Amino acid sequence: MHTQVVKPAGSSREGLYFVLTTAVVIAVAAICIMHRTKAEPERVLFEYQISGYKDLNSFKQGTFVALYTAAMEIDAAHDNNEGTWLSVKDLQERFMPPFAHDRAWAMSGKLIWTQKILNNDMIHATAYLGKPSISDISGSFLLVLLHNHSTEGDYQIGEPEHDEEPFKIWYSGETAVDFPEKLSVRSLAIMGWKEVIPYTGDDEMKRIKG
Amino acid sequence: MLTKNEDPPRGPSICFEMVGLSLSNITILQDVSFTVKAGDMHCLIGPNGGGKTSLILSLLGQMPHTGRIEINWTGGTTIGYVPQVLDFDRTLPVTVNNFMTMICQNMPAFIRTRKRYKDIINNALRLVSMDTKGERRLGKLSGGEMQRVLFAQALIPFPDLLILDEPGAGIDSVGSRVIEEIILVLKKQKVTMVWINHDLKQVKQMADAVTCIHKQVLFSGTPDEVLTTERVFQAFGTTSTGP
Repeated sequence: MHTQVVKPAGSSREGLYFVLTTAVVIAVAAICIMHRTKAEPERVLFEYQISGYKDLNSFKQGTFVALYTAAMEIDAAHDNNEGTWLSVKDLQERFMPPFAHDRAWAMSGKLIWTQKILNNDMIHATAYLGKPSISDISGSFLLVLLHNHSTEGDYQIGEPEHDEEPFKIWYSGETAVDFPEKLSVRSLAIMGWKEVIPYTGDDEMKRIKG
Repeated sequence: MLTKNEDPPRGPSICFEMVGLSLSNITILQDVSFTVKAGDMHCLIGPNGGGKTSLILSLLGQMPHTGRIEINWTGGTTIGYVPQVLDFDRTLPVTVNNFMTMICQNMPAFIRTRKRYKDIINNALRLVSMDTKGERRLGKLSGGEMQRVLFAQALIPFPDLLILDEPGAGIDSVGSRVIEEIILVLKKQKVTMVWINHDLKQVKQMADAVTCIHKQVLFSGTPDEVLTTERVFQAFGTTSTGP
């Protein structure tokens, strides 16, 4: 004869299994995240480059950010309009900063924009030059856009290591600059233009948290 | 197949000691203590909502009861259980044979029933006069027929302890007689049975012992001793609203 004592049904064991399972799932997820996370390589600035974060004051930063956004719009419009570039007038009619004559434009030095189009069969390029009316607030900005249609979808400007965007934004402290004849990185760098590198999320975190 | 009468009893004795049960701060059972003797047919009676089914579920280890429930096995340790109702989707394409197969084997029933289980299933269904309805869909069975199938599944493998939760409720007269006959055979085999039963006449005729439960034990003993008119009125009158 053997005696069996009936154990009461309880949720404690189920709760334990649930907690253990949850812990295992979290641990596995944490290990996976740790193994997959890569530190973003630190961006090293070349001689001809400046940081949009450190090297521009707030007015210049405002122009730079507006120009960066406008560049994406101009690029998309170029794709949609069978290869024609938006003119400065087009951009002003669209109220596109920093081309539009709004309050921010007035505060940032009243940049006067001109455009040059340098298209050939396969390579479509344009540049917008903004020169300040008020010289003690801002220098000059140059936006260069280039589409190489010989390699469909593959945009290249200057050195291949900097071809993340199909455009580049340049800054010059000079206010009385001429429109550059050549738009290659080398030419612009020799003429004293500085390519403005946009700041990253990490930079912003440093700015906020110190 | 059922075997001939055996002595000593094959079924266990069961001892309930101060068993209590509370669910959502509602006391269902309190200080329930009684003993089921080995080989006895022990009936549980009492008003609806008195905690009989909860006590049986506690015995099966399905409830967070307090106190002590002790089963003293003398031979085998097989428990057969006939539930009050089986809740299932009546549109399921499962036949009686499929259902019985699921209980017997690990292999999925839709593949085939193993040969060695076919006879066992047939015998169990024959005992409850359901062998001719093996291919009928479970959802098409009447309440009485379903109850008989549930009874048949409790006989595989042959139980040493059989727990019955009102198998006679809602059953037709043929089914009721069939089940009664099988219970008598099991009684001769000295299988211990715990049977929730509302039919006091049947309890008086068939049971070895009876316990009346209404949250607590109201009375417990042999039917002749405890089933007096006064006590029955007292027990069932507690929930009666009356005219």
